[in-house]
Amino acid sequence: MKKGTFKRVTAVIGALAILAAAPLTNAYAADGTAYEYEGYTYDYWGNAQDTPAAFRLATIINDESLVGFTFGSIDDVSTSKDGRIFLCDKLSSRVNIFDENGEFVTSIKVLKTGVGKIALNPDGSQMSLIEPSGTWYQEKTKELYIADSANKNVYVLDGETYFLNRVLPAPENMTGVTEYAPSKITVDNAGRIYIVVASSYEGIVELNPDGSFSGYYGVNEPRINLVQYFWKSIATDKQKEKMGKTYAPGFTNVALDSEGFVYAVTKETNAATKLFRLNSNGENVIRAESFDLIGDLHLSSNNSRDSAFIDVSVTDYGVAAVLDETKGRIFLYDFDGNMLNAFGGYGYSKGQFKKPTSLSWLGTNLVVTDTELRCAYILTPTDFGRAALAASEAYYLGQWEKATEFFNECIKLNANYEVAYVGLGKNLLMQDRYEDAMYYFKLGNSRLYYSKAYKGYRGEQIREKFWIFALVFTALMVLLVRSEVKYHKKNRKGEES
Amino acid sequence: MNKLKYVSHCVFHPFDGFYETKHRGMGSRWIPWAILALYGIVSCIDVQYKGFVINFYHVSNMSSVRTFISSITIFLLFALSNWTVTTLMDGKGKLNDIFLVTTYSLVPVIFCRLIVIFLSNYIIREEAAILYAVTAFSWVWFGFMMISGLCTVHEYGLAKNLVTILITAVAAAIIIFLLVLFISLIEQMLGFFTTFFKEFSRRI
Repeated sequence: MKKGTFKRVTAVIGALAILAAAPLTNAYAADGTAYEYEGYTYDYWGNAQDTPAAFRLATIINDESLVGFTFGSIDDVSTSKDGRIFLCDKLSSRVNIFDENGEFVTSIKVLKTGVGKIALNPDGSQMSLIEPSGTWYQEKTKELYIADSANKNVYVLDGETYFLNRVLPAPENMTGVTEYAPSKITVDNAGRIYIVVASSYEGIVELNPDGSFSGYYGVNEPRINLVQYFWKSIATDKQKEKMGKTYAPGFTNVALDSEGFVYAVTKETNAATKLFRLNSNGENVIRAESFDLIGDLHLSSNNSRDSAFIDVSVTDYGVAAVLDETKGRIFLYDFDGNMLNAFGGYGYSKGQFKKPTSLSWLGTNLVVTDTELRCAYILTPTDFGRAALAASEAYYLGQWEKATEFFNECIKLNANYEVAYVGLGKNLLMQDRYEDAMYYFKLGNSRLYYSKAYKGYRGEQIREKFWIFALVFTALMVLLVRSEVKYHKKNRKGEES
Repeated sequence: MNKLKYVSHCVFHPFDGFYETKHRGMGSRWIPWAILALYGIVSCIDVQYKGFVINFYHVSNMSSVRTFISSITIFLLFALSNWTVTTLMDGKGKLNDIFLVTTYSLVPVIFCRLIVIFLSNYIIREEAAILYAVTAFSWVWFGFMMISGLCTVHEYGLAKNLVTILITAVAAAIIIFLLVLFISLIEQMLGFFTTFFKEFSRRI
């Protein structure tokens, strides 16, 4: 190689290296608007594939949204169907309420039973929030539940006036040993209350509607480590005593879906499962059609980079948004457990996180809170996100035509989106258009459904070309009979001679 | 031609067949290489043309050369390391004999694999178990041919044969280790000479 060419080549390589190393700050939509997030999803082989992010930043709620006071922290968010946002502030003992546009509505600190009537504790002091760490708005009775971890009460407020309806103190006949300090709360349509107690290994505390203890709910199995298991199996009783017990990992957060199932997440690294959909027996019935629902797939040996789920929220059509503390990411899973999108991250630019705490759906928008930045982001779907969510909804509701339309739009915006190919294939399969369905299942890398479509296609082909099979079969039979006849003739001849 | 026909005799009567290939001149020099090459080609076909339902390869990442080499290397390595072990343990087999046994044993594997590749294009998921059974059967056959063939060419009993095969695995690991060592040494040496000549040419 001549010296000149060599120099040129190195220059090109250097330029490429600089280009590759340059941080890509923004992704752009077709119309040129900048998105704050870059999304990805996993393909069939578990490789991350770039996709447009499903959400972009719309509104920021921060100290400027408040009047007369500031945020101390933001620890939990819940929303109501009519678009109110409830933000828990543990440090300044408040629950702040905003409307769907991020405009401040009111703030609750001292609890009242009526206009100008302050609620009193049994000892006569005035009743106020101390460390509200979780809220839940129940649509059916229009009541706001606030779990206070410092004074160990659950307050039930009227959803319109925010006057105190009743107080649910710590239940008396609890069987577990973990101290009762309600941190996250959800209430189902029958009024049963599910409470997560921080670092509790017994499970979720389930209370009856009247606040009495019902039982522990949900099993969070620890991951079995083969090495530990081996040492435990050969250890003596005394050694075992010193080793300590393996406790069931606790739950971190709960939510409720539209069918009344309790969704739960755990951030404990030793948990075997991270996202739960619990039925009334407390068994995990979540669907995972492609991969385990563990966020980022590439696990590290010391769990340090594994996703740690700290909050979950579910839409009416089963799309779960899960917040990961490790990388500040939001994962979207559809009802079948396919990952629709992942986006978000830590950083200092607008829309990024420093210490995310919770998230909640607000219609099709998402509210995500960050306690260190003391703000809540209202995220709104991008074109791709809107199409993906709409397709998911239509598919969940069985509206095939509509789903096809939206899946097609998804593919137009994102050719890497396997979920859409499979969705289109399923739709064609329903209409018995097997050959077309096979094409889409192949693109979507779904061997399970491809096989189903192929079964139909093969049956069709066999029926169509039945005369070939019939012909071959008759030919074989004729040959068989002929050889038999020949054989017997020969034998008879042999006998005769 | 006669020798080529004799391959099928080895497949169905391994004790007898491998005795004749060794002592009666029914063995061949080029047939084993042809079979091994065929095995490599079939491995490539396997990746590319197996039916979608049971084809889990990442086809866009597939490289025929890599598949070919990696599929045949293990058998070359086996023949070589088995020879190194058995020469020390009174084995009567020559390297050629061992290589012949190894490759002839692959014949049922190749045959079954071709059948599986063809049929896999016409099956659904529930029927895949049949094809897996066929594949497993072919490997059992391979194992039987290998063991009987090695017993015959080395004039070993079964127990001693199994022991030598175990040691062969260790020997193979050592060979790989030495190869890696050798290659990295050569690399360093070449690196040294290139820098030496570079420096040298710049000083002049």
